Amino acid sequence: MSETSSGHLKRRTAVTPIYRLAVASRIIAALVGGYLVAYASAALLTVVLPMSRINRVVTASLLSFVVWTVVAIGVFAARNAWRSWWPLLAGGGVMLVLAFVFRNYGMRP
Amino acid sequence: MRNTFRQSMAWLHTWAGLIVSWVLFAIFLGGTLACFDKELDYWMRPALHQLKPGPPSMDAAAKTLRGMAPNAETLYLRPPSDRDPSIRGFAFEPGKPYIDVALNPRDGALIPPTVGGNFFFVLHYNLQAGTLGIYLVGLAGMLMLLALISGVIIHRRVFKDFFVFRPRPGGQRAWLDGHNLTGVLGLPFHLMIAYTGVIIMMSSYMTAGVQIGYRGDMARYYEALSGTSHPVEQHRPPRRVASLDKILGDAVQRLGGAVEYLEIEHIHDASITISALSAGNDEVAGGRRNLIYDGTEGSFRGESEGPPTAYRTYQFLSGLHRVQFGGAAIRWLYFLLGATGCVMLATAAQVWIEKRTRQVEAAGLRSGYGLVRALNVGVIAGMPLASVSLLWANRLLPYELAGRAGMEAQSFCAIWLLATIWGVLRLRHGKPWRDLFGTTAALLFALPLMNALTQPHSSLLASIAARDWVLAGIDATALAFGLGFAWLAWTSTRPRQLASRDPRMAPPRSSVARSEAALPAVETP
Amino acid sequence: MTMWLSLLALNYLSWACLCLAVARHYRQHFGVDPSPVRSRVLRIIGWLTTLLAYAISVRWRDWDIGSVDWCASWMLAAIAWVLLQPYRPRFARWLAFVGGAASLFALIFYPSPTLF
Repeated sequence: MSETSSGHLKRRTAVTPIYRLAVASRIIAALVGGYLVAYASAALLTVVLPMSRINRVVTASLLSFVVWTVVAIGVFAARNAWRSWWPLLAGGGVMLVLAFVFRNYGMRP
Repeated sequence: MRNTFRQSMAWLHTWAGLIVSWVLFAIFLGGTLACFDKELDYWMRPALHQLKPGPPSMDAAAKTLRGMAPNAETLYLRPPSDRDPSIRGFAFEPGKPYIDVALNPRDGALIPPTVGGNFFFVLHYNLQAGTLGIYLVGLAGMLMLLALISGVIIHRRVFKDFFVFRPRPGGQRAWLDGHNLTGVLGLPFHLMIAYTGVIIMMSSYMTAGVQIGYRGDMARYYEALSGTSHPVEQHRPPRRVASLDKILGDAVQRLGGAVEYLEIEHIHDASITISALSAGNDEVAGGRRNLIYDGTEGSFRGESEGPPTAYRTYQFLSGLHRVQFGGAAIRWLYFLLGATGCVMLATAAQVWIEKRTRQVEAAGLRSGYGLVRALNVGVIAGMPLASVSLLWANRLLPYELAGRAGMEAQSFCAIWLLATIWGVLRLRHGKPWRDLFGTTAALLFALPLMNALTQPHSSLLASIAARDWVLAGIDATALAFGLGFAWLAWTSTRPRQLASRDPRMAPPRSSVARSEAALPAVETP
Repeated sequence: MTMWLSLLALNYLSWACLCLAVARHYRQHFGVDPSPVRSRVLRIIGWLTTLLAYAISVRWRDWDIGSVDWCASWMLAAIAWVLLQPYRPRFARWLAFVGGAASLFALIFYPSPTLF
């Protein structure tokens, strides 16, 4: 970790309730929101991937954890709490709905 | 609020890391020791050390196992291997605890129970906390993945400082260098371990694919994964059960290599089927061949089709994590890399505390910061002590004792708890790091001695004479780690230069002077 | 065993060369800046030895296990070099040279039957 960023951290770690709330919000967004997006992406990938069914399911599950990681990093990089939350809910929701609508196509062998 | 991407990543690194660093330390140390789980299993079962040479009797083992689990539908038997000469039996009866026993390979007799090296393996994947533990470990793994990636992003001099380690005692610099060194140079290993560790349990964590692809029918999903279908029940008892020894011999011949498991399905039905899964230790992904035998006649029925391509990828990834391939040398490399991971986590906690030294001093030892420091001692110095104590408990508890395996596990927990209490009590007026490291060193040094006193036939000298390198290796490794912990204890006895600085684990003064003379141009950014 | 030691030694030599190719570290070891030619030669030797180590390990145990062998020994060699360097710089360099030479000698004159 570089000196600058640790200096930055030192200034930031004046622990106020608001700061604690901000940390908690980001962690929850990264873990719970990230899981939601990863879950939705696994569901959608199971529908769209061009492979046989068992391979679709396994590949989608393997990739979903990469999705989760990328999303969690995005959550912490976002400028404020609103910006960290709404893409998660919107993206996750849209993917879930799509996967649910085409769920019968997802069961093809 | 936070201006740059890098600063927000520093934020992520600090908090993702802080939440799980202790849990991850326990998982890492458990996993590091579990590299040699079967070897420790063997060490902890002295009844196996005096075996006479001869072929294993799988039939006798199966008989014992059936007696223990009369209602089980499926039995698993693991034949002896180079790493573990016992026959392991696994069975599950509905409504009863899972059966996992070691059996004498000659006569199938039950070997006195012990938690064995398996204890560390279970600790590694569920913290000995059942299903809840599996999810906790998964979350910790995800946070580790995040901490690793954000760690690389915030370490802006990652290439410039690639080779830098400035072991000057006192303060944050040396801790941070130690953390960066083990983190950056071990990064491929840590990334691999974190990702593969999470995906190993992916069918528990990520059920979306099965929900969509199989309407949530896990049984059908597993059937598609294994590429085998279960036999259809005939609802009448089998006329007889074929000889497992013959089947094992035939399977080894057909596979041209070792068998990992014999699976006996539908043991009470005429449809009884026995399959032999190849060990496949010459491949990272492990065995893919599965031979199927008729359970009454013992005749070879055929080979199940191999796993689907994507599942083979999964097996490759989980194989990378489980390191059952490539012999003992590669397990040693994993063991050493796992140890560097433990150092990375231990130094991480230390950096966090050092950075807040001023707050800690202001708030006093009774504050939350004081508690963090004390618990840090308990977790980091306590767990190695508890692990050695487990080996001691194994030898000291009488072998006839009922519930002995549980008592071993309890002694591990009790020692860890005591160590943590010691850390809390002694932090202000004592040197709890020195006390715990010193005790660990003493127990490690004395382990071969205690082993020789309680089990004369399994002592270091006896096992060297018998060329039993697994047994000798564990005693010798205990001695080597005893040296390491003695050094740690010695470096943490030296007086503090500043009240606020912790020179623990820094190099001794003389060598610092030498290294600074030799390396005059150490830059400080 | 010989193969393991060779892999570790070659990777260790590689890291030593790559590290000494950096002017800052060369200065720490020898007190002077390296000439551009020397720096480049060190860097080339460093990359070549690690490539050689990779080729050997893949040849030895196939691409899957061979890659793991190489990667693990590569990381451990790096950690060994970086830890040894500040405490015993002379010994660290000596070890790189002798270890690398010995493993090349062993590979050429006592070729492992599993390798060729």
